[in-house]
Amino acid sequence: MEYGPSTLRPSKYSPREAKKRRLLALHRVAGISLAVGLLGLSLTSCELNRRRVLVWHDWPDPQAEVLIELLQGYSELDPSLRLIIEYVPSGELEARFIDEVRSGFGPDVMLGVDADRLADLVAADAVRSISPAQSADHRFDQLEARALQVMAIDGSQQGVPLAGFTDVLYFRDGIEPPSTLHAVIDLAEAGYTTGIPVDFVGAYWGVDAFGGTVFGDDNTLAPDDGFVEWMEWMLEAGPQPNVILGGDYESLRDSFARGRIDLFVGSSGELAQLRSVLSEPPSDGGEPRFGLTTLPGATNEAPGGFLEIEGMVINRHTDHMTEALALLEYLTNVPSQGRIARSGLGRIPINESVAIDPTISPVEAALLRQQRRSVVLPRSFEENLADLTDLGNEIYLQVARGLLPPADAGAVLRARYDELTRVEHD
Amino acid sequence: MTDESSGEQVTVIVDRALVFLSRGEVVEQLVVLLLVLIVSRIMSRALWWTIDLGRKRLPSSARLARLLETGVSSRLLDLVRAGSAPTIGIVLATVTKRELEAAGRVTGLLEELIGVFVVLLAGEIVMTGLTGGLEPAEGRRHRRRFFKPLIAIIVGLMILNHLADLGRLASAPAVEAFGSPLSVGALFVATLGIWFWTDAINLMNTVVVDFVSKHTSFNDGSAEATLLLVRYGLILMGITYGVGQLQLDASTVAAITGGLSVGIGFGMREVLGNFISGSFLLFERSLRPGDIVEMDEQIGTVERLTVRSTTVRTIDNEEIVVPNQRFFTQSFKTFTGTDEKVRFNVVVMANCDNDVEHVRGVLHRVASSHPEILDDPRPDAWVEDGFGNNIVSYRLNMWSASPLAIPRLRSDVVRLVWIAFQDAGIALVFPDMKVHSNASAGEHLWSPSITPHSSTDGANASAPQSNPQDLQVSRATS
Repeated sequence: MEYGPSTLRPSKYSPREAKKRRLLALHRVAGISLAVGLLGLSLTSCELNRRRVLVWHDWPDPQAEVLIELLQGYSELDPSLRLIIEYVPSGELEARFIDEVRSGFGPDVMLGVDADRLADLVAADAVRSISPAQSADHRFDQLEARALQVMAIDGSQQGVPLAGFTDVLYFRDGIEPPSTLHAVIDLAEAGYTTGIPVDFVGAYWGVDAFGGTVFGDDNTLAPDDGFVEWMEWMLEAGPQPNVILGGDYESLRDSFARGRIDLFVGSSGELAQLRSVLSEPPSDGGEPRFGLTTLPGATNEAPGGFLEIEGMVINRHTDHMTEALALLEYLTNVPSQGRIARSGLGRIPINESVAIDPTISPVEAALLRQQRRSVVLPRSFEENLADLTDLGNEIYLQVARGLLPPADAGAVLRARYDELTRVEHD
Repeated sequence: MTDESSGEQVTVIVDRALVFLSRGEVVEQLVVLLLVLIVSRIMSRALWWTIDLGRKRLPSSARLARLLETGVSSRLLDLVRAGSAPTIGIVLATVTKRELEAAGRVTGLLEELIGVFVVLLAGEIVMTGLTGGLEPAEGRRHRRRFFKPLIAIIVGLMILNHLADLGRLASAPAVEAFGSPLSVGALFVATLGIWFWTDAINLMNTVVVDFVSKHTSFNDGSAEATLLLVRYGLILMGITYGVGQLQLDASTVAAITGGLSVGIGFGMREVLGNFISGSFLLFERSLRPGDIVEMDEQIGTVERLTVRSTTVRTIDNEEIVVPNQRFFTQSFKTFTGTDEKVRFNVVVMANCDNDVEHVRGVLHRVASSHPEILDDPRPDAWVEDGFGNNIVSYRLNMWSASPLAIPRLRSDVVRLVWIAFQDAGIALVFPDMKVHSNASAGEHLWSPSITPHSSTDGANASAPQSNPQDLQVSRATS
């Protein structure tokens, strides 16, 4: 073979540079080969032919064990489906979902959505609504109507409820829980301390206890006599040495756990935390040294607090709508809801067909009874809930300090709320 | 919620990637993204190809080209060139995003791409600002080793953020060492983290040394030595932090390293010796970058001082790498220990007929007239030797501010003495060398004997001699 000047062209790189370039090219080839190899290995282990559904939830450990057990049960029912389950802290859940969906990412199904944030998700066009036909096909219409209503916006079903929370009365072992507000005073006089949160949301059950409401039509407030009577009862109970009016759920729960108070009104969501510290033996599996029951009413009929719904939504970009709906149906069916109810997490089933024997599970049965009495915040107030809460808290405080007569409290609340919403609309 | 191994995490990442790639919106965005990247790259290259072609062709742009190749203009040009691709990318991605949004398409990834371009542009600005004053090759090296991998990792993490929970991935155990599970995040910090930290420190060191040497009156060597110590201190801190992240079981590590220490001690004795010597040299400041030293009969400037070796650049531009131990255990000559003034001399031979004071005066004048020969200490001409063979030998002692300039100064002085002697009528004396030859045996015997031999103009002084080796001889054959 002849090498003439035309075939043997001098390289434009120095020998050192050429060597460096060759090494670099070799590294690149090695890197790409490694990446391809790893990807191939991963793909092989991932079984490409399986359908995949990404699920986010916000149930922290050890509560998540129940949810994961349910989801694994579902995977066993449908082996061709792979569920990728990921935990996202509850404070970040909705915001991260919106952020991810904006780029086409995010989970196919998100569990644990706070119903208060549903409007934000819908406004961000992040969720796919469920048609009435789909709802009927997947038997969502068998769920509690009020809970379903919470997960709907403007008549369109944007998600499905998973479980509910509401206010209940916790009491220490050995105490006969009061069924009326009068009995609460009697217990106080007998030396038992009761803690009642005094804020608009946490104390709303008191209005219902007197058969009242504060909500009118079309985003207007209409506090009635029940509201006034509740205020008057609080003024009467306030001076009692063993009635603590004030504090939030967490501080009352801590006082209860430390033995400083004997009864308190708190969210059913506190149950899991209390069980972990007030059990005998002191572990999650121990027998609780406390009980819970329905809230005390003006009469023997239990009043209802607000119903908080923990919902499930489907990503608008999902490619697996059928699988997602089937998963939602599975999680809301009677066995799954029964499992959630019996988990001791304070989550109340929203499937009306779930029945709990009060002799076997008194706590769960009380939760279910309480939920049936609970009140749903009208959707029209969702938008101004934060303002309404602040306003309500302020009115409660003024009444408690004697700055505002209970009889005027309702009118002041309505007037100030009207003013607030008018300013916002202007 | 449970601790997943890195292998399981990789499976989750692939699973998630497959979930997302099954969505039309994601695939559509990826295609658009790729197109934007390609088009912006092509547009940037085409733009600069056109500009470069125009600069070559248009005669009027020659001045502009020269202007652009100097100082600040040159840096600005580098910045514009480096920033053109991301800038075009930002414009292109923004326009595309707006159009797609108008069409009701998903554009989140394009928004992120704009963010990446902005990061890239900001990085280019910072890097050009930092490396603009450095040698082009040095600047390119830092770009290649530090900036580009850093950008690649940032972009990689941005992509990975969609595919995995980075917090969980970081805490996932990757391997087990010394009985402790090492998490992905800890390994990342202990390897790439240390790598980037070291490179960042080196870059900052180079930039600061460059700045100090160009814009301040600090002694170049002492500033560099101080920075060297700071640099090694910071690097050591980074390594300690990075290794600390691994959270290795201290007792196990101590047991294993204790056993290995003997072997390591023998194997690394020289390295450790050099390291310790280097540290002492730095702390004692007996040797600093910029010092002029003589070792093994070679004079050179200390270019770099690292904990292992010292690089000396000779007058011939050769780089000699000297292990620090040699400086620590052997004597060496430094011309810059306390000050840089160095004495040197030139020897001149003149006929004893010349007036000694006249000759000394001429030599004084020659030395004083040279701008690089110091006035303080004054140059001085001594009568070194006299009357043998009718020759008087003069030694002209002079001082220079730079040892490296001596060979040149010596040459200058010899040349100037020659001219000055001619002007002053002082004859140069050339020592004769007689060569005795035994022609019949075919042998030649060289017998140097110095006798006064006047130059052709009849003057009688010898040529100036800088040292005996440079002795100029005239050869006569007998």
